[in-house]
Amino acid sequence: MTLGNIGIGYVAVGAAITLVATAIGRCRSTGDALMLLGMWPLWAPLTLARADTDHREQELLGALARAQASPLASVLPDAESARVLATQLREASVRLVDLDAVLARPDFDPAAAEARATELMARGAVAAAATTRLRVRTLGQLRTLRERYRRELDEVHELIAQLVTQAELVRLQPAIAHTSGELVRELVTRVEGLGDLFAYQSALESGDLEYETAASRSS
Amino acid sequence: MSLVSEASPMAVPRVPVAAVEATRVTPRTLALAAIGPVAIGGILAVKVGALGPLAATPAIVFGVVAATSPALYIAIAATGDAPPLAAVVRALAVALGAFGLALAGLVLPAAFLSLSSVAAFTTVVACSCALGGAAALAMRRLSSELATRTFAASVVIFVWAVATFGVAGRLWWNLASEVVS
Amino acid sequence: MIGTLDVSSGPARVSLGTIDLLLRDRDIMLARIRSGNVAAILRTMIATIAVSMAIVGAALGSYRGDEQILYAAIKLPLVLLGTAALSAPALTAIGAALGRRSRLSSDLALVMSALAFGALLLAACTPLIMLGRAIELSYHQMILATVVMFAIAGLAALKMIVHALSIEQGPGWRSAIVGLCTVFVLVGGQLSWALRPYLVRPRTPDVPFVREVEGSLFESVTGALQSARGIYSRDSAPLPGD
Repeated sequence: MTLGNIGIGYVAVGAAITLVATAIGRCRSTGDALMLLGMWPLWAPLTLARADTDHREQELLGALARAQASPLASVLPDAESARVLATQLREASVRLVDLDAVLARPDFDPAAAEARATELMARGAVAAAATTRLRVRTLGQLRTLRERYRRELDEVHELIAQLVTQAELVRLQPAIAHTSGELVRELVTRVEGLGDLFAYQSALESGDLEYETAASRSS
Repeated sequence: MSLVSEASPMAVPRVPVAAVEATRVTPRTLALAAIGPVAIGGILAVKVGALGPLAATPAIVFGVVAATSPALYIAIAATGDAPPLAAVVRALAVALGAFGLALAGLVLPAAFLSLSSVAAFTTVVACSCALGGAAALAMRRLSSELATRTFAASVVIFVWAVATFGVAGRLWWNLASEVVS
Repeated sequence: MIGTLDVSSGPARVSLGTIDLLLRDRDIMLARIRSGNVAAILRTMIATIAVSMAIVGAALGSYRGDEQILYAAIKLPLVLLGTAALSAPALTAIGAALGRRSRLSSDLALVMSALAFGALLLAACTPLIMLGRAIELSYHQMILATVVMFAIAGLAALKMIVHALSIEQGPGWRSAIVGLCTVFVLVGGQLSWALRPYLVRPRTPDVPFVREVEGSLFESVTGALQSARGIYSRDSAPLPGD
C-alpha cells in the first residue's frame, strides 16, 4: 500500500467522521469540519466528548444560555468563564460519583471497621486496633467530604433554578434586572468555591494533617 | 498504645478516592477489550489478504485468558494470600479493560506502521508489539488490582503472567507465520 | 461582566496570546489546559505547528534551493502533525490502562502544546540553518547540525510533558510517557522515512517530492544489519539509471 493510498484512506475516514458528526449536530463550524477531516484522531474524541456532558454541567450552561437572552445578560459571566465554571461543576459531580462508589465498597464500611477495632482490642492487639481506629477516622472524613460535595452541589442546583426563574421574571419586569446581580455573583462564588473542596480532597489524599485541621475549623 | 503517633503523616492512611476511577469496570472498557484484538487481527488480515486473523486473534486472546485464569486463582489461593473469588474476577475484568484501553491507543500506530511497510513481516512485528505491549500493561494492572502482600503470591502472579504470555504469544506467532507464508 | 476566574483570565481563543503564553510561562499554560477549554488551545497549537514547521522546512529546503524549499515546507508539517495525530492518544490509553484518571482532551492538548513549543524552538533555529547555508557547511555537517537542533527541540517538548504529568502524580505516569515516546519514535521515524528527502545536497539535479517506497524504516534497518553481517538479499546494489 503506497503512502498516497494511506493518505487517501486517512482523509476518507476523516470525511466519514465529519459527515457523522455533522449529522448528529456535533460539528459546529467549518473550522471543526476541517479539523475533523485533517486531524480526526485528535479532534474526533474532543468533538464527541463535548456531547458527553454531565447533567449538572448542562443545567448550568442551559440556565446561563437562557439568562443570556434576557436583560440579565449584562451581569452574566462571559462564555469562557461560563465554560470553566461548567467544567468545575462537572469535576465536582464526577468526584461525588467516585466518592459514592468508594463508600459503597464493603471494605470501606466504617461500622465494620469499628467492629474490627473492638474485636482487636478485646484480643489485646492494641497496635492493630489503633491502626483500625485511624481507618475509621479516615472513612469518617470521606463521608464528611461526600456530604460537603452533596451540599454544595444541591445549593448550586437551587441557585441555578433560581437564576432560570429570575431570568423569566426579569423578562417580564426589566426594571428589576439590576437586583439580580447578587444572585449571579452568589452562583459564581459557589461554583468557584468547589475549588476549595478539590484542594481539601487533595490534602486528605496526601495526608496533610495541618491543612485538614485548618479546613475543618473554617467549615 | 499506638505505634504510630497521630501527629505523624503516617497516621492518616492515604485515601484512595482517585483510584476508584481506576477500578471501575465499564461497558466501554470491556467493549474496547473485545474490539481491540479484532482490530489488530484486521490489520494483519488486510496485509495478507486473508480473513482468518480477524477471528483468530480475539479467539487466542480470550481463549488463553479463559483457560489459564482458574489456575491463577487456585495458585494464589494456595499461597493463603488470595482476595475473595469475586475480587479476583473483578481484577481480571479490570485487567481486560486495561488491555482494551491500551490497545485502543496502539491500534492506529500499528495500522500505520503495517500499511506503510512493504514486507508482511513488518506487519507481524508491529501487530505483535501492539498486542504484547497492551498485554504487558494489563498484567501490570492485574498485579496491582490483586494487591497481594506475600512474596509467594507475587511469584505466582509473575509465573502465571509469563505462562499466559508465552502460550498466547506462541499461538499468535504460529497464526502470523502461517498467514504470512 | 462578573465571574472571570484567575486561571483563565483573558479568553483562550485562537490567538498569539496563547502562543506567547506557551513561550513565556508554561506553568500557566498547563493550568489553562487543566482548567477546561482545550478545543481553542488545540486549534492554536495545530496551527502553530503547521506554520513553524513550514518555516523550518523552507529553511532546510533552502540548502538546495528551488522547488525543494516548497517540498520541505509542505512535508515537515505533515510529518509532525501526522505523527502527533497517530501517537498522541497513546499517552491517555497507556495511562488509563495503568489506572491514571483518563483525560483524553487535556492529554491531547498537552501533547500538542509540547510539540508546538518544540516547533517554535526549531523555528527560532532557522537563522542557524540559513547561516549553515551561507557559510557553505558540508552536507554531512548540515545533517549533524539539524539532528542536534531537532534533538534539543524534542527534549524541550518532552520536558514539558514530563513536568505536567509529574505534577499530577497519577499512577503509571512514567510508563505512559515511555509508551508515548516509543510510539512517537516508531511512527515519526516511519513517516519521516516515507516522506524523505528534506535536506538535499545542493548539486542534486532533480529532486522528487517523495522518494520511491523501497520499504519501511524497520526493513531498511534490518536490511542494513544483515548486510553488515554479510547476508545479502541481492547480488549487487542497483546503479543510478537501472
